[in-house]
Amino acid sequence: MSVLAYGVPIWLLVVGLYGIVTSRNLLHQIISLSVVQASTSVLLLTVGFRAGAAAPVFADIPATRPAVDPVVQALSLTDAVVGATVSALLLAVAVQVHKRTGTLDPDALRRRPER
Amino acid sequence: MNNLAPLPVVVPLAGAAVVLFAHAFVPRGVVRLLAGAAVVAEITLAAILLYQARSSTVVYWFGGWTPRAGIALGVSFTVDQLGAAAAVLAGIVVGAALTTTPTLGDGDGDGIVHALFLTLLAAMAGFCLTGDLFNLFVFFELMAVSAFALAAYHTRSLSAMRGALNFAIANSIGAFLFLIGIALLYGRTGALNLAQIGRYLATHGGLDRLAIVALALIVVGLLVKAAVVPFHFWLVDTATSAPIPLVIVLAGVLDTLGIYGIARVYWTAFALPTGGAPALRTVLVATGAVTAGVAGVLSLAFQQPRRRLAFVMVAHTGIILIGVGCLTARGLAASAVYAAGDGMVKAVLFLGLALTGWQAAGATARRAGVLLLAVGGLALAGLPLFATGVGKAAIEAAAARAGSGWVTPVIVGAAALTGAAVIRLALEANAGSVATGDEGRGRWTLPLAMGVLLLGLSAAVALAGDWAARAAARFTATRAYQQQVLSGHAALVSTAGLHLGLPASGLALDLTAVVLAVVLGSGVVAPAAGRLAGTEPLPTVWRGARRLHDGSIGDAATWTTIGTAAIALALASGAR
Repeated sequence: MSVLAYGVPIWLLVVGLYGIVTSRNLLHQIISLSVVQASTSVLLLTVGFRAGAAAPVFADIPATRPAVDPVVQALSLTDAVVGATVSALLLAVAVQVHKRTGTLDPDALRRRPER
Repeated sequence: MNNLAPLPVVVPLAGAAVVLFAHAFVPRGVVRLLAGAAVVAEITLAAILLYQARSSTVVYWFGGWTPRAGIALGVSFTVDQLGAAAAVLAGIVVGAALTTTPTLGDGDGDGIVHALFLTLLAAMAGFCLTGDLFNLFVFFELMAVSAFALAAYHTRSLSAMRGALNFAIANSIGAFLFLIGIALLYGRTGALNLAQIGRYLATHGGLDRLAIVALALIVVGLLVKAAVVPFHFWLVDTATSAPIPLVIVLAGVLDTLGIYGIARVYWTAFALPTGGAPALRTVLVATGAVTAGVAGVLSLAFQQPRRRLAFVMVAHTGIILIGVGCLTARGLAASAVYAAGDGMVKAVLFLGLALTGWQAAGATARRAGVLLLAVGGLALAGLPLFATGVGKAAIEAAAARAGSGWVTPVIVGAAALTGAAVIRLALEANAGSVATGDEGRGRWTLPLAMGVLLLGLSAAVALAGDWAARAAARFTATRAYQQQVLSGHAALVSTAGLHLGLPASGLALDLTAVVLAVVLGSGVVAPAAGRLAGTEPLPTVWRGARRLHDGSIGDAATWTTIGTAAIALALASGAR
C-alpha cells in the first residue's frame, strides 16, 4: 500500500515531464508543469504520513495522540504558493504570445536556426 | 544572538515595498534613489556580517527558536565569510545592473522594475545566508520568480516571451527536482536544518541509496540554476532576449549561486558520511569540463552578440564548477576568487554592450563600451592582473592535486576561446557593426563608471587569495559548523599559514590563454577564425549546434531529463 503511495508521485513526475517535452500547446505545457508540481506535493504528504494518526491540530485531541507530520504539510503549502505564482506568470506570458501570434503552438516561437 | 543576520534580506524586501508604494506619486529620479539606497544598505549590512564572521560562523534563529538538546527546531541563518561575501557581491552586481535601467524604454514600469530587482536581491542574500535546506529552496524559487517576471518585461517582443517561458519552465523543473530531493532527505533524516541533516546522516548509516538519490536531485536542481551543459538552454535564450539589467545580474552572480548552493549543501550535510565523495567529484568535475569545453567552442559559433556572450557565461560557470567539484577547501577557495572576479567581468561585458548601443550619446559612448568589452575579453582569457587569472591558475592547481589534472587544457582552451569571442565582439562594435537591440537613453556615464569600478574590484579580488583560502577552510569544516549551529559553541578552525598560491606554471598558462585569445579574436589567423565565426559554408556540426539552440522548450526539457538521469545513475553506481 505504501509502495503504491510512492508510485503516485513518480508517475506524476514522469507524465508531467512527458507532457512538457511533447506538448504542442502552451496551455497544455503549463498544465503539465503543474502536474510535475503535484508530484512534489503528493511526495511531501506521503513522507509525513503515519497510518492511524490524527491531523496535527491539537485543539480538541490530547497532545499525546499520534499525529501526521505537520512540517511536510507546511512545506506542501509553500510549494502550492510557489506553483501558483509560476503558473500565473506563465499563463500571462501565454496570453501575450497568443495576442501576438494568434497561436499557442510552442513551435511558432522557435528561433530561425541561422542566428 | 546576533540580530543583524536577517537584515540583508529584510532591507531590500522593505525597499521593494516602499518603491512599489511610492512610484505612483514621486518622480522616477526618487524611485531610483530609493532603490539605490536599499542596495547600498544591503551591501553595507552584508559587509558588516562579513566582518562579524571573521573568526566564527554567525548563527541567528528566527523567533528565538534555538536548538533544544542539540536538535534544531527553528529556521536558522548561518553566516560565514564566503556566504556573506556572496551577499556583498550580489548587492554590487544589482547596483551595477540598476544603472542600465534606461535601456528599458520610457520608464512607465520603473517602479515595478526596481521593486523586482530589490526582491531578487533579497532572495539572493537569503540564499547566501540561510542554514536551512527548505529555506534555501524558497529563496531559490524567489530568485527564479522575480527574475522570470523581469525576463518577461518586454511583452511586445516575441523572443522575450520565448526566453521568459523557457526560463520559467526550465527553472521550475529544476526547482521541483530540488524539492523532491528535499522531501526524500527529510523522510530519511527528519530534519531540514543543514547541520542537523549532516549530523543525522553521519551517525545513522551514512549515505544509503535514498540519500544518494536525494543528493543527485538537489545537485541537478542547483545545476539547472547554474545553467551548465546540458541544462544551459534556458540561459542562452534568456540572455539573448531579456532586458540587459537582468542579464547583468544573471551573468554577474545569479548563475554562480547555483554552484554556491551545491558547495553549501555538500559541506554541511553530505561531507561527513563517507561513500559519496568520489562519485560526486567525478560528476561535478566532468560536468564542469564538458560545460567549459562545449560552451567555449560554441561561443565562437554564433553571430548575435548576446548569444555569443551567453555561451561565454556558460563556459565560465563550467570553470567555476570544476574548482568546487574538486570537493577540497583549496578548490573551493580558488573557485570563490574566480567566481567573484569573473562575475564582475561578465557584468562588465554587458555594461559595455549596453554602452555600444546607447542612443544619442554618439561615438564616445560607443568607444567606452568597446573599451570595456576589450578589457573584459582580456580579463576573461585570464590576464593575471584580474582575479580571473589568479583564480583560474588556482583552480588548475587544485584540480591537479585532486587527481584531475586533465582538465587544465580544457580550462585554458575555454578561457582562450571565450576571450577571443569577446575581443572579436569588441572589434566588431568598434567598426560599428553590432546591433544590441537595447537603446539606452539619458546619462551614459553612470554605467561606464560602474564598469570601471567593477574592473577595479575584480583586480582587487585578485589580492584576496589568502583570505579566500582561510574562509574556505572554515566553510569546509563540517564538524565545526554542526557544533556551532546545534550546540551554540563557537568552534575555532585553525587557518594559520593557509595560502592560495599562484604557481608560475599557472601564470604561464594564463598568459598563453591571453595571447591565444588575442590572436584568435583579432583574426590574425584569418581563414580559420573566419570559418569559426560563421562564414559559409558552415560545417555540419556548427549548423547542428545552431539548430539545437533554436529555443524549443520541449528540447530543453528533454535534455534536462537526460542530464538528471545521467547524474543520478553516475552517483548511484559510484556510491556502493
